[in-house]
Amino acid sequence: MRKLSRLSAGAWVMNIVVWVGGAFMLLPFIWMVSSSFKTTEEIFQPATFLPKSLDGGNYARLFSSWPFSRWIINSLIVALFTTLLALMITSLAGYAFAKFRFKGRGKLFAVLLSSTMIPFPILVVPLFVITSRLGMTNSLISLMLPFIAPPIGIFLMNQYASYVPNALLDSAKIDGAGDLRIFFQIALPIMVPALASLGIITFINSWNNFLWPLIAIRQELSMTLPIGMANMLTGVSAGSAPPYGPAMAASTLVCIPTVAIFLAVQKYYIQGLTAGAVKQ
Amino acid sequence: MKKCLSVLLVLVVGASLLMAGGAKEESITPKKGETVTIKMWTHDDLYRQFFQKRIDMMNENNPDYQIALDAQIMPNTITSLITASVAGEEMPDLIGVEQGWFPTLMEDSNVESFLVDLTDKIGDRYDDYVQGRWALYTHEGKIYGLESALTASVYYYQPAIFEKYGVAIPTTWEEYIAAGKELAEHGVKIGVMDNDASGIFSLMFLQRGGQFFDQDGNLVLGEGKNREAAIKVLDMLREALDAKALQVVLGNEFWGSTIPTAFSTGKVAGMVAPDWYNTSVLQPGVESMAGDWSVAPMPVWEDGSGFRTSVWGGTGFAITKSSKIKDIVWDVLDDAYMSLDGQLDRYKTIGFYPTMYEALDSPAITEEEHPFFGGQKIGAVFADVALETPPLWQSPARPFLLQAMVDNLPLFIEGKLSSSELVDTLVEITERDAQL
Amino acid sequence: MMRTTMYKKTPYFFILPAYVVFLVFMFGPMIFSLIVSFFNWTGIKSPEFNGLDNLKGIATDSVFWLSVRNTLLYSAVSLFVVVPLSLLLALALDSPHLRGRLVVRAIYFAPIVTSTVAISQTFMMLFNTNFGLINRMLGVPIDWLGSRTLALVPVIVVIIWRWLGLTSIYFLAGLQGIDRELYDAAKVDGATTMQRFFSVTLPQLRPITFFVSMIILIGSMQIFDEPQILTGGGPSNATRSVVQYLYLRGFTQFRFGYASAIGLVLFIAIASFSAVQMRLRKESDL
Repeated sequence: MRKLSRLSAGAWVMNIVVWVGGAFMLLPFIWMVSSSFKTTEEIFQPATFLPKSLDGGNYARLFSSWPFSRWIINSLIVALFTTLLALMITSLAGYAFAKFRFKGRGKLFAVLLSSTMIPFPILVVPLFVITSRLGMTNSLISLMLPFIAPPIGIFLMNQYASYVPNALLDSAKIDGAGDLRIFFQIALPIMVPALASLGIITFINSWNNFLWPLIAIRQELSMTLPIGMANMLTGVSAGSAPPYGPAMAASTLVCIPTVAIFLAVQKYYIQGLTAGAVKQ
Repeated sequence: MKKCLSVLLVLVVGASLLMAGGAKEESITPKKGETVTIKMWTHDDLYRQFFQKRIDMMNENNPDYQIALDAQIMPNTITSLITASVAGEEMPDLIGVEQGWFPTLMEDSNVESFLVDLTDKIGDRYDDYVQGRWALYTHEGKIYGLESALTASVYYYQPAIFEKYGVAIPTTWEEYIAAGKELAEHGVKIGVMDNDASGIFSLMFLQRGGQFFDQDGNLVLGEGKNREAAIKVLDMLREALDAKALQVVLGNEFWGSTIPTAFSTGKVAGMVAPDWYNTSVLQPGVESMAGDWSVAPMPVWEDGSGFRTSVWGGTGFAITKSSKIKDIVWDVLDDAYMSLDGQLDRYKTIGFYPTMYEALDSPAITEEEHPFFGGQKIGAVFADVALETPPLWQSPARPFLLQAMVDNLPLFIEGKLSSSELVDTLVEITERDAQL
Repeated sequence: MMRTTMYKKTPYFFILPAYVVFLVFMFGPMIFSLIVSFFNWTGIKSPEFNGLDNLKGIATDSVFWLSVRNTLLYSAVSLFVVVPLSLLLALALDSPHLRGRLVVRAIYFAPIVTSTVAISQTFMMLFNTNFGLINRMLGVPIDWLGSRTLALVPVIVVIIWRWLGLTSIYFLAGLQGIDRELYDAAKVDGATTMQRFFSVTLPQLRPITFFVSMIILIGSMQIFDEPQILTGGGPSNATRSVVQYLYLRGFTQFRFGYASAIGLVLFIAIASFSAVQMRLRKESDL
């Protein structure tokens, strides 16, 4: 408060605008959480900001009327394994590109980089055909595979791997360590910030992924959270009133992990996002 | 690198061209004391509940073997079926087919390789059920599914509103429009106009005797009496819209709160809708208005054209070609969907009006008093018109027509398309898209 | 410098997993999609070659062009509303005069990691005609999602809400990368805050602005989740995006060839935008 008084008029305006804008940004979150505690009748009445009571009925209904816990487990499995595999694959490749000299290196790297231009939506038809021919429809594996070697991740890993001092690698080499051991014991620990950045981004993207699971998954029990949630309002029984309350409870539960992770480790997430931007 | 790519290309394209092999005809006969599992796919848990109940009852009376039900719920059973067949995955034995999805199977007569032809099993009993309900699952004269609900339509209304303004309950569409105009003067709408592909336009069109497709699946909407019927219906809707006599709801909001809110605030007096609208939208939506509602037959046309009711929606149950227990599945289906007891039990358990005439005439249907409708015996209203439930002929092109309707009805409502322009547009788009 | 190894095979083993995934799940499908564009294929029976029929169909398909218009509109909003707003936001977030900076940052950045489905469903309720908060605040029952002209508004609002933070993160990184000495020099020259913004900040942010614009452009051309949940593309296709149209043709109508052809057009559009970007970058030496 004492400090506020020293702000210039311009700074005052800025603070007000930013905070009012921030209130608007928060509004959907507040609405989501508040609606998740409202009964159906309450929701259908003219909007009120706060629920009449903190009744957890919608949350209970979520778990009893839909296989919500299955969706959570599915989403967790997909996000975790996608992340782990992506970290393995991209760090190996990124490291190889940074620290080995081999034939075709430049071209192979260029091909990878150019693939960031491929928009994912154009792949969904062939991916659907391929995964179904492989007998992987409705399987969680089909949800992971297309995302376990993100080119942008290889690029990020490559950048970080190049910071690993060659002297370290050479001395390990002289001590008789194999390439794989050097990678795991020496390079990987140095690349931890990049792994953290990519890991968080991959996890969150996978958790929120909608288009591909919508196509690949067709059974309620194999659904991930976003598909299951979307299905709550649009699909299943045409003819019953949309269960807005449980949908908002689901939305709240879906947002909590990603927002919490983000708030806890903002730094890594932002570093991962901007690594490509500032350097390029 | 190049070599690698070309190899991959051949692999991918080659793999994709490999078509699913035809299902082998195998059959399992259960031994004494064994348990057979019926795998069932459906989009709605209601059906699982009902089949489970019937199977439990069958098991009690079966000393030889027991049946277990393994039900999977999925948004669209037919796309799942096609995918599973392409992927060579396990297929269900019993499958629920929402009527709008059946056309997907009609393309290239694929239905023959996916579903069991039930025509012979139904046999002479064909005539015991509402005729119009067979058409939904008929392809080239063969029947592939048994319908779950009558889906006949009536006029749900609030008598107090009509009384208050001294307006009589309309029995014809002409009266309906007149009443609508009168109510509109008091700011009350007599009904609802939506852009659902099976919604009010489709209802009125089928009721007037129109058909979108002929029995062979050819688009006939643009021809002769069908075109006339469509334009007649649209002109009437136009008149009602211009008089502000109809509440317009578009898209998903049809299932949302708009209509219940308008009912409970007295802004909309009623709605022409099928039987299921009562149990799944109306009663849950306006719980507090119990006793304030009545049911009247759907208005008819003064010139006597068409039927006394119409249809909207439905779900059929079918047996897959790949099933190894076709006979057992048929026994279950026969009991649950074709027996008198099954039909009445289905009404009792999940609220769908029977499709069997004998069941419809049963006192359990016609004599039941509904507190929501002030004790009115609304089953009698449905039973009365059931004989006139119009058919809806299917076609592989129907999904395209449905999409065209969803897309273009709002333009008609806005006045951007006239009645004849809308019909022409629908025909043009359907013909074009079906050929893609 | 680069490290050479005695085991020449090692680097290939290291990049092998990445390339297998890349070939099978990205490059292969892309080629596949290209080929299928020239076929009539419903997914069950064998594909039939139909040459340019799909592309010709697209050229005269009014719904496709409507979806292009909608998508370009989403892109334009993103470019001309989100980008400038997020630059201003980044300036504010970078300012030492902003109170509660950490909280403000968290509030504006959180939407980035929020599920599109969850937030679109929330906005669907906020914009509901009868019980939505927006109409409650405005005091009139506007049919946002049911009107062909207005339905674009909720979609655009969600786009702005979700992307504002993302782009401002980039700008913030850019701002923090600007050499402080440049400001000091400008100060010595007697430049006002405004002058410093135009003579130092903006020129220094040019590369990042360019980068952000491209990300936004390419991202918005692929928009799907928001209109799919909010309006399903309706009413009358008024909000349908190109990717939604691809989805409709491909996965509700099983016209894989036609859907792939839509994808091909999308790919060409995005690739040419990217190519133009690279060219411009090289020319302006950014």
